[in-house]
Amino acid sequence: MRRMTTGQMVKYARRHRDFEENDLEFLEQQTRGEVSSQATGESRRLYNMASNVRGEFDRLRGFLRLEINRHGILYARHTPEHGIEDMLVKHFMYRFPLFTIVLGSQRGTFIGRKNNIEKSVDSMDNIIRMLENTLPESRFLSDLGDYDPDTWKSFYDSQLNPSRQRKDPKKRIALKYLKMEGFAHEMNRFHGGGLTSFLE
Amino acid sequence: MNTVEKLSVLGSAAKWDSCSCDCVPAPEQTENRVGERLNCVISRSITPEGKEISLFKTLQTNACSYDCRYCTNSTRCPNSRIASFDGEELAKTFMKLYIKNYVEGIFLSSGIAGDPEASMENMLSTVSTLREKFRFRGYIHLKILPGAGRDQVKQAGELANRLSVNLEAPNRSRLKEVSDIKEYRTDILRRQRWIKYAGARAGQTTQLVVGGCGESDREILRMSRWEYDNMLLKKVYYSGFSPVKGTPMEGAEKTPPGRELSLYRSDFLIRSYKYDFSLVEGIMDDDGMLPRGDPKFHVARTFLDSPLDVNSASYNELVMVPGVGHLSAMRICGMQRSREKITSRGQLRNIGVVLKRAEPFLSIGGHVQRTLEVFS
Repeated sequence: MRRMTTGQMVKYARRHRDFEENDLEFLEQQTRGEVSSQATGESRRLYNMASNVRGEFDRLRGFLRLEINRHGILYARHTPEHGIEDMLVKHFMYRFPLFTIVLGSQRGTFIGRKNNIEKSVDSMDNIIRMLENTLPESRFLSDLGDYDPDTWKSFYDSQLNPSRQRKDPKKRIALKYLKMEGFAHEMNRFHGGGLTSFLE
Repeated sequence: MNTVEKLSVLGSAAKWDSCSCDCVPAPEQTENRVGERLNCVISRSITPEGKEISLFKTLQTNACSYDCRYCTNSTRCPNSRIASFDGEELAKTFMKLYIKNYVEGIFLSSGIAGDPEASMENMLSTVSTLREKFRFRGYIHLKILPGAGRDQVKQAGELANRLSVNLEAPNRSRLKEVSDIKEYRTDILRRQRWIKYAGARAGQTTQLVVGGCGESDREILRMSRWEYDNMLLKKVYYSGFSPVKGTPMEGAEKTPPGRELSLYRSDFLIRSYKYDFSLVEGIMDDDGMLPRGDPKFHVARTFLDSPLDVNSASYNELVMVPGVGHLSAMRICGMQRSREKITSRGQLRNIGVVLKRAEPFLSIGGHVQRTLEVFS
């Protein structure tokens, strides 16, 4: 991750689930150098909050799986710890400008289309039903055809290289992945064995 | 065979190729596209052995008329299951995984089924379908097949982000021990030269198989240095040899992972720290093999006669010290230029020097910190 500026630290820290406005009062009493070098306990707390938010965003933009709706809608349901839904929607809007992005979370449903991000309290399923009534079927997606769920499993399994198997995979796999929600499920689903055998 | 079955065969055949996905930013911002290239590496999944998957790696076909002794697809292994994708089928399969955010980009290679130019044409048709029909603007790493035509290499440079052709061995005589058909100069080096002028945005890389034909580390690193200087490679990948059942080399010894690691570390010293090759060669034994452990530490022990005065050492001397990297060396030189003296270990720690590793080789104010381990 690139080093954050003070402005970026504040921007990300604001999204942290434990952030309170009075966390920033100390900024007025400290110099820019003290804040950016994390010389004080408050600035280190701010940095850690910003780092946690950015870390979750980086993990989710790599690991959030999208579902395809034939009306040109890409959607996913997730419960991020911090308020990063709009960041994720913006990321996928930039990546897939031909599609509408819908992300359902515990904070509501976030919709991204035509460079706009909206938030709705309505459920994701209702939002998708409404969008289906207004959006035509996507020719791009109908050209692609239906997705076979075994495609990913087949490819993932093909990448396994037993000659590279280590006796200590726990050390090889970064802790940030081991801690991820759904990681153990993905490992168990594709390889039959429990992840606990790796962690012992 | 259906698509899923083909993927199982062809994905498995492609896993031996090494690659990473250090992307370049997309130059175009049009809306009429699918995807973009991030300027960082994003993993999409982790395998149980800790390998990060970010690219969709597959072969176009595993039918091959070459005779490489370590490969299950070669003519020496007639019982392999043969599968082939046509361009449209492979492009659709990849696009579905990309849109669902399973993969970051595609790495495409192929066996050479008869005529290399025909096999290369099939791969180019897949990549053209991705770029033109599906408007894919993300990352494509395309293998150039030994024997591919010059116009095909030029076209590949326009379509793909990164190109590569595998060296496999450090020189002609070593390659002959692996394959009777492949010609080192004409099939491989010539294609690398064409790739150099083809203008792929993310440049070219190559792969060397380590331990497959009895080559020494000296031969490998000497070739790598030549490649970086003459072919302007971004990176050389070192793939440790693993015997595969059903191949003529299935009884050969597996290359220890430590050897691969030592080569990568030495490669980094030559490529990024611009070490003279003679420094790395100086720590090799009579057989031209690198010692175990960190090559940088061995170089420092061998060539630094006395601890360096941290306030007067040059940049090139400082980067020879274990625990002092490019950034730390630059910061120390910056302080020298502004006449600031380093008088304490704490200052070095704040600069970013890893004191535990660097202290035995640095002197601060005439004092050297050493532990008994240094003498062992």
